[in-house]
Amino acid sequence: MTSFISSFKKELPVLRCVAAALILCEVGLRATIGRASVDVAHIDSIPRIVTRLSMAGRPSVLFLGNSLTRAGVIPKDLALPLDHVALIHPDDSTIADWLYLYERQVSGRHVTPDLLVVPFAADHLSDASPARAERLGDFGGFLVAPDAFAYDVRDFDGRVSYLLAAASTAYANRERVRTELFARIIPGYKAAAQAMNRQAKDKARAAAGGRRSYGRLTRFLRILKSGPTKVVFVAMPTPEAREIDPALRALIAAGGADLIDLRKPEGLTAADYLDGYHLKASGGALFTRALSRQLLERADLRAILERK
Amino acid sequence: MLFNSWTFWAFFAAVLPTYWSLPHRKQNLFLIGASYLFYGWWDWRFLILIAFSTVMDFQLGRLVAAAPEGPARRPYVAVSVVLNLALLGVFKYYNFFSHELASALASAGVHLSLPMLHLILPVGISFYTFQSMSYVLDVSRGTTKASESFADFALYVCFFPHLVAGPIMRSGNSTGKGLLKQLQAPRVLRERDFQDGLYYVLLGLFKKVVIGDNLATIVNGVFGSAPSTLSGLEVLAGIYAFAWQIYADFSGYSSIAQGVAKWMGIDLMDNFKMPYLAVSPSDFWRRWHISLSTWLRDYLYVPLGGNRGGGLLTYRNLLLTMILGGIWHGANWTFVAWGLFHGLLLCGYKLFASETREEPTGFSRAWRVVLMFHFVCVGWLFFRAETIHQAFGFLRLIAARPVPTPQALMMLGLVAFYALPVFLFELWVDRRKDMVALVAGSWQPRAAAYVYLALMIFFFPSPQAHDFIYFQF
Repeated sequence: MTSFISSFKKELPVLRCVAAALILCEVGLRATIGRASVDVAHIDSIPRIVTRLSMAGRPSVLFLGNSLTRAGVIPKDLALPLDHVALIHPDDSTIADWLYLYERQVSGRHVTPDLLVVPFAADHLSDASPARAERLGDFGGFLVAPDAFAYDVRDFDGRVSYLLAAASTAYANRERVRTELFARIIPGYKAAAQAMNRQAKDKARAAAGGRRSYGRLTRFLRILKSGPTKVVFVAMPTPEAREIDPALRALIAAGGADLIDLRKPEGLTAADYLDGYHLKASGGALFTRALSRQLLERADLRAILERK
Repeated sequence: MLFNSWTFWAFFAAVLPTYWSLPHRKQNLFLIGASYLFYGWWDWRFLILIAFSTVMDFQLGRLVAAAPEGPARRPYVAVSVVLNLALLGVFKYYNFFSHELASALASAGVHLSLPMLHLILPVGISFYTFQSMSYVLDVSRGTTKASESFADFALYVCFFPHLVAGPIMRSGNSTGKGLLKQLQAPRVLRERDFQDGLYYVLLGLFKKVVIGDNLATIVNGVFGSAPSTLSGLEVLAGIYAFAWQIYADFSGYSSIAQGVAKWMGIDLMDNFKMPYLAVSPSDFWRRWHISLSTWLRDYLYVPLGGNRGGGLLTYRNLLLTMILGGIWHGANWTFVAWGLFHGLLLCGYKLFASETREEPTGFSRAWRVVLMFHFVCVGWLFFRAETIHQAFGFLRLIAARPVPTPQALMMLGLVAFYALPVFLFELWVDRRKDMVALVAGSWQPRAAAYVYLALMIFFFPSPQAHDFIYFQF
């Protein structure tokens, strides 16, 4: 063993350089990634968003979604005081991420919005999207680790990844760094990668053969049912308006939540889409006003929105 | 347990200090336990197969050694070969051959229903059966002594760094340091073992995690798509991606195995020596999967007659050896086609070209390297294709529709991003004629290289990990 240690010591200068490089990356990313990435800046601001909402008074309305929400929900068109509305919308997030975000940043901090609105499309609410340990670690942190290890991150490798992502900004944002670099140096990377991802997702969906499970959504509803927050799920418009799974409708109803179907709001056309998926400003305004009307048409939701 | 997993490194972090704290004999016993745990982690039921192969070939080795030289030894050798190949045959080839037989008979109007076996292919079976067989063959030839210790022999078969994907190590010193010989002797950590091991491990992880896994996404996308959706250049990009994926994946595994073994004072052979710098088909096979190519040479090609019979017999022996080498990889006509293609390349090279003592340099070398790489890529097309039909379809696409689509340019860009640095590094290593030239030099360039490797491993693992390709062989 002593010969191993002395052999190791000979390589120390090299190992120190490697360690220094990794530490520099960590420090550098912590300092700069919020400025370089709009999405990361938003994720970093989530604690402040939730704090502001908790201090705003009633009614407090929290939107929890992804980039569809960012593009589609225009707070000023909601007919509510702006400081009573908060939006949380990490890019490319789904129910797996929302569950951990909510547990850590909202219920974990004993914040109880009056109304939680979850805009979704396609398979955002099903278990089809795999739980990515790094993302969950980034969103859930050490606080939610026991839950993560009990349900979504059950193998040793995944748990190590979860904990590293909870501790290290560099580790949690590796995919962003990779995507940013490729977008800059590889011609046509973003468009082609998105096309390949969609192809892979379509294949996975076809392989699943229409069978979906909703384990994470079930846990999410259980957490929400234990508190005073009213939950509304909103099916968002996309160019291919897929059918809403009857099992999903039944689960949402059984969980004491509401479902608003806005897959085809009146007046929305193909011209209202920015990139064939996200809404433009015109589409967002149209959608938000339609949502506002739908919320006020339901007596229980109206009562919440008119609370002071 | 995969080398590129936290589980493996937690396992190894426990194994290594325990190993070095033990005396020699107990080290071997401890490593047998660790190796069985390593293999059993995947599926403990198949430990029985390794144990069976170990007990059988140990006993047969002793019987061979006790028998007088010559024909008296042949029955024992035959038993080893037949039983080891039977193991392979049942788990790997039965369903393929029974299906092909039934199809062939059906086309002749004879309908035969053969039972299909629903068996999982045991990981590494092609490697440990070949290794174990080589021991019995070497004992019968007198090139190695039969092991007197069952524990030493058992460890030779199951030594975990190389158990599931090689290199296939000889027991004696015929192709470098024999593994059994090393295990029989006390180990000493030499001055550069840690440094060499670190080099092999880092390089191997980089190749597997960064190059192999990332290019797998491109390869699976191309080979899983209908031909009507692809342009010729996209197919070509997919083939280039596979060439680097399989090389990085397999050589990465071998490299990590070497590094891990080094840290235990054991030398495993170099299984790859910059194969894409080969200037001819025979040069390629001196550089690619060296442990298998030398095994086939010593136990198949030479016993068949090698090149001793002249002309036609040499070509026959080359073709047979390469076709069987192709079949070793798996039960599909595409592997047979790949083996046949390389056999024809070797025959063609023997017929039309000649090896010179002087290595080509400059432009003379460059065009040979480029040409040989593309010949190898044609072979990889067959190796990776689902069917022969798909392989030929892709070749037609490359010829008929070489359109530079944005997707093709992106794929080629990614292949260059991942593979070019390694290619340039291997060019540098090849010039120095020293596989560990980076370790031999001063620490500053090594530190710079390791920083690059570490940052790439940290930031550029594929979003989706893939199994080592050679686990399925």
